[in-house]
Amino acid sequence: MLLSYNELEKLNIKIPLKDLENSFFQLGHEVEEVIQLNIDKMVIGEVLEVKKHENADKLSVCKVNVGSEILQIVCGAKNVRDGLKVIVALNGANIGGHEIKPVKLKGEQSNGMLCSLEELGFDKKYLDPKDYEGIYEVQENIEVGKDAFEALNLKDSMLDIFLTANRGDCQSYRGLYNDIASLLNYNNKNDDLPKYNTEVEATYEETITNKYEAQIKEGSEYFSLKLVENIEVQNSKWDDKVFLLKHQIKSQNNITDISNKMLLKYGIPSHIYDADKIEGNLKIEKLTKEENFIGLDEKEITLPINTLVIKDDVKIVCIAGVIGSNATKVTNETKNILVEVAHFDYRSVFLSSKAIGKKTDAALRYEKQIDKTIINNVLTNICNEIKEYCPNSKFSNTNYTGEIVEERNTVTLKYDNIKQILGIEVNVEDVKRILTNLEFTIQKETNDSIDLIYPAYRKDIEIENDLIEEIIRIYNIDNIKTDNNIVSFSNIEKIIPNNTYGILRNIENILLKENLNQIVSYSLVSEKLASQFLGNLSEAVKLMHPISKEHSVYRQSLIPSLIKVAKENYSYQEKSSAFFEIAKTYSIKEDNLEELNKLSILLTGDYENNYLGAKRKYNFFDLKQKIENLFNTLKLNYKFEKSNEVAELNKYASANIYINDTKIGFIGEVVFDYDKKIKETIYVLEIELDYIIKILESTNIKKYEKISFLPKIERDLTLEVAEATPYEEVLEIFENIQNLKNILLVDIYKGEPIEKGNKSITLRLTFQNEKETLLKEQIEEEINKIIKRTKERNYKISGV
Amino acid sequence: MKTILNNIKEDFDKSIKKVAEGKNIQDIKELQVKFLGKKGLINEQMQNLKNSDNKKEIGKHINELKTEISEAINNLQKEFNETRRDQKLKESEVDVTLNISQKDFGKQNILIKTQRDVEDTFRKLGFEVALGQEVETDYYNFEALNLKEDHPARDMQDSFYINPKTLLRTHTSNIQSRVLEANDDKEIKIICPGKVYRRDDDDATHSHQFTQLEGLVVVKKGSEYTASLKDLKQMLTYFVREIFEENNLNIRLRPSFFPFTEPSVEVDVSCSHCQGKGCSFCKSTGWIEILGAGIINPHVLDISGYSSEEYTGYAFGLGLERIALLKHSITDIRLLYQNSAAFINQF
Repeated sequence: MLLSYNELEKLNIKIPLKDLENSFFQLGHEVEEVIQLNIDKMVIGEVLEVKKHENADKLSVCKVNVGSEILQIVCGAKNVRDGLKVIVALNGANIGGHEIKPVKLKGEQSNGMLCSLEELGFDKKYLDPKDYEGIYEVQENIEVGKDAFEALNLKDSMLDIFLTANRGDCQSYRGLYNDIASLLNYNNKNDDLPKYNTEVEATYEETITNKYEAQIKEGSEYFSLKLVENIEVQNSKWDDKVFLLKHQIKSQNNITDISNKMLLKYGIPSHIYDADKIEGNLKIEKLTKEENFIGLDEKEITLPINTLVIKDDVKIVCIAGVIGSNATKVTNETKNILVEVAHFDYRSVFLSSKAIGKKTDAALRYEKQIDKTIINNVLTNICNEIKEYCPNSKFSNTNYTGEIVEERNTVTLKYDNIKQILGIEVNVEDVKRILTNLEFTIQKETNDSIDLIYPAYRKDIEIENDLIEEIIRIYNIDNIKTDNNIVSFSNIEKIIPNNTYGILRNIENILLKENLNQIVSYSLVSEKLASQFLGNLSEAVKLMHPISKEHSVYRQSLIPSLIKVAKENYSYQEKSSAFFEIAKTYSIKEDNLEELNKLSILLTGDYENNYLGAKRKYNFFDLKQKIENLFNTLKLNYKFEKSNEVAELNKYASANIYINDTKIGFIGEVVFDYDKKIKETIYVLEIELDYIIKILESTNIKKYEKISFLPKIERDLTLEVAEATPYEEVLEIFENIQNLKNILLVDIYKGEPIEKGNKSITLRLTFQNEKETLLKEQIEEEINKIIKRTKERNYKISGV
Repeated sequence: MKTILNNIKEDFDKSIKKVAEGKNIQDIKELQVKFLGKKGLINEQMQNLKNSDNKKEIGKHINELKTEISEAINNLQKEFNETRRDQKLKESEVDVTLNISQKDFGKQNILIKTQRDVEDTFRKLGFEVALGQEVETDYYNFEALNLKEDHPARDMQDSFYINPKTLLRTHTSNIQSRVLEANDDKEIKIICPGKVYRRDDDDATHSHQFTQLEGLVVVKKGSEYTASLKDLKQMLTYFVREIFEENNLNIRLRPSFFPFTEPSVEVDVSCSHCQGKGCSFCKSTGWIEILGAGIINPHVLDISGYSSEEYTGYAFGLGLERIALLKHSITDIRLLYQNSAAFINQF
């Protein structure tokens, strides 16, 4: 909302601009910007003589009287002529960041510039073409040499105020005035600023009969119409034009401008029809079928079913509360008008303005609910102003349909609750002064409470807390001082039933220690990515109205996002990646939403890349090691089983991951042709964390196991087995071997002299007993057991 | 006899000099054998002494020479040992100015790091962390929070709906709705961090996905605890000082509006770049907006089965991206989601 400092001054709000800004800020109306309407060294001049420039067809050389002297100014405007009063920018004036200086233009000296209104800082959008196409022609009788901004009443400071969604009433001078006046009255301790005046006496007589009466079918509570005949449509007076211009509204004609002025002053929209274009009578109804409509802005749109409209007998004349039709608008030829001030249901206006995508000034007011109680006053006010412009106009009686029903509840304020909510005391006298200043009416009073009725324009007031907010806005929220006694809530009983958060933090910390970075990527991915790595589009959570294809489905696997990140890093010359993400995934399974917490890890590129380490690439086992480290730290029982379920993983190098025989995820090498642009091998894994969280929720504190200091005996065993034999199968030969404490894989070898199709595996077995030193015979006995088992399986032993 | 001893001495002096120059440990042993061994030169003179007539004096001379030789050999041995030890140590000599230039621990994306820091700050004050679902019904996301059907946030254009009744949550207040509903007569102090989604195009200051942390305190009126605007202000002053690691930061409240709180406030923190004097960071105001808060709207409590007559409390919500950006002078929110290694490893 734009607010003029001068207008407020006229209303007796006379405080410095900075104080005014601070006061609005205190009230919760932040001044986002102050637009200064003023340029120094701009004066009114009179053109005394115009000569064609000898060296330039389009330029004129003018002699201009600026009061103190007569200047020669070169001007390019077509409308420059003798006797014209103009706005002159003198040397030193700053026009849109450009300083006017004495110059020679094609050989002619120029000392200043003749200006259009656009050059004064007003946007073309709000100007008549003739005010920006040529220089501005000053019509008013103003003395030459006067400051142009002052003389034309343009000098002002416009406060651009950000309004919160609840304060619809502040989209008007009335609302903001009442707020600021209440604050100033409270601060000054005397009530010298009166309330904004809404009551007026009619200055016209009702001499004709109103033949129009609207029929309300739906969506309006109150609809008032007045017929005015024999009007004269003309340009508005300069002051009215300037008022609208400052508020960034384009002046149209005297009649339309009056309507717009009332909107700014009272926050009440009105609409004026050319009465001769209305066929039959008016009715308010919701559309039962789509219809086309051309509005005042001359754009054709299709109105959807249920749009609340005003119709005459043949056509739509207005979208209720939003915009009138082009066909019935006031033009220069209009003689008779129909003035409408009505109240429409805010929901209907909200829905229709949303449906057609037009947020007009009227719609913005109706959506926030207008003050119905002043509708008739606004109508009278409009007519008074018409009368002033058109003394010969004739006014009818007002026909109104419906009734203004204003229900206002009583709100009780208990003084104790002020302290409870604000944390500070406000004395009762102050409370009462604040609320009565704000036009609350005290209905009932007791020692510890008051009952109040709020003013009709305050649609935001509903409950006691609203009153307390009013109190602190005026009392000043800065009076809530802190004293560094921070309330810590450590004694409040815990209510979060499980420790998922703690477990996830623990997992995260373990992985960070594994030299993995933790990333966060977008949950929404493309359909293409959403269908990879076991993602199932038919079960996916899909957006109804995505903003882009790239973010249209909630992912079911994090891996495609991780690969995307690795790929982007690769393109920034970062060829190695080692990172993880923990995030939720969603699926819809048989109409039920399934939420999972997932962990994914990605490794690609060089494992080590420094002068000490042997340079090598990451491999499958590096990734497996990392997840095993996690499982081991968390003391989980896990196993890996070869698998080919994931199409994007190399079936020869991928596995499912199990915890306690429950499958929780997979690991593997991404197929080399997954993305042609990625030249490095990528290893990924993904596990569901929910099962792990469930296990870890029950406390699992490790108990001490006795440490043995008795000697360990190591024996190496080399076996030759078929190449396809899984290691896990080989390990079966060691089941229930006594005193075997550890099996270490020392080497795997293929090639000469090992028979083709076989591999040689060397294992280091460690034997130890906690209680006694093992005898050679005891170990031999176990080794023999092992050898026997290898024979049963046709493994060759090439060394013990 | 004396001449013989002098010759031995001369011979020894020459030999030991040679050995010392040769630096061979074996030579010392040979030297020892040659002069001090059973059949060595000194012993030989000792044998010869039996036949001498000036036993006492010559014996003294021999012993003196023996001591001298043995000391010299011992000293040389020590010297040799010392050298050998030093050589052994030198094998491990390193250029201490070298480094491996490779990090050996993972780094968190600064957004996650910020989230953890913020969570830990509140946890210190006794807040519990409550987690919740990102795909939510409009009841828990809007209605239970007093956002009526005509509220602009409920517009399909502003939120990601997956069907007319379900959407990706637009704030983490849905957790608050659910926690309030699950309890009805307990005091509550929770923070609810998580991902939220709004139908915005991504640019330097907007992101369709971002991270919010909301806090909720519900106390019984008249209990040991209070949760007024003053308490909120004090708690948040502590919070900004902790999180921005500056002890002289202040906050200011200004009246605002949110459907789920009443009174509502915007919270500004004094600009740490200019100490409140006004700079380009704070748009010359000296203050930077960081979060919204307020006293829980009694409707919200009543909707969830709490009696607003008996209970009151405050709520606040902050954007973690904003905190991360402000704290680390990051100018583009998209950097947080790009996960470039160069970016992550900076912090």
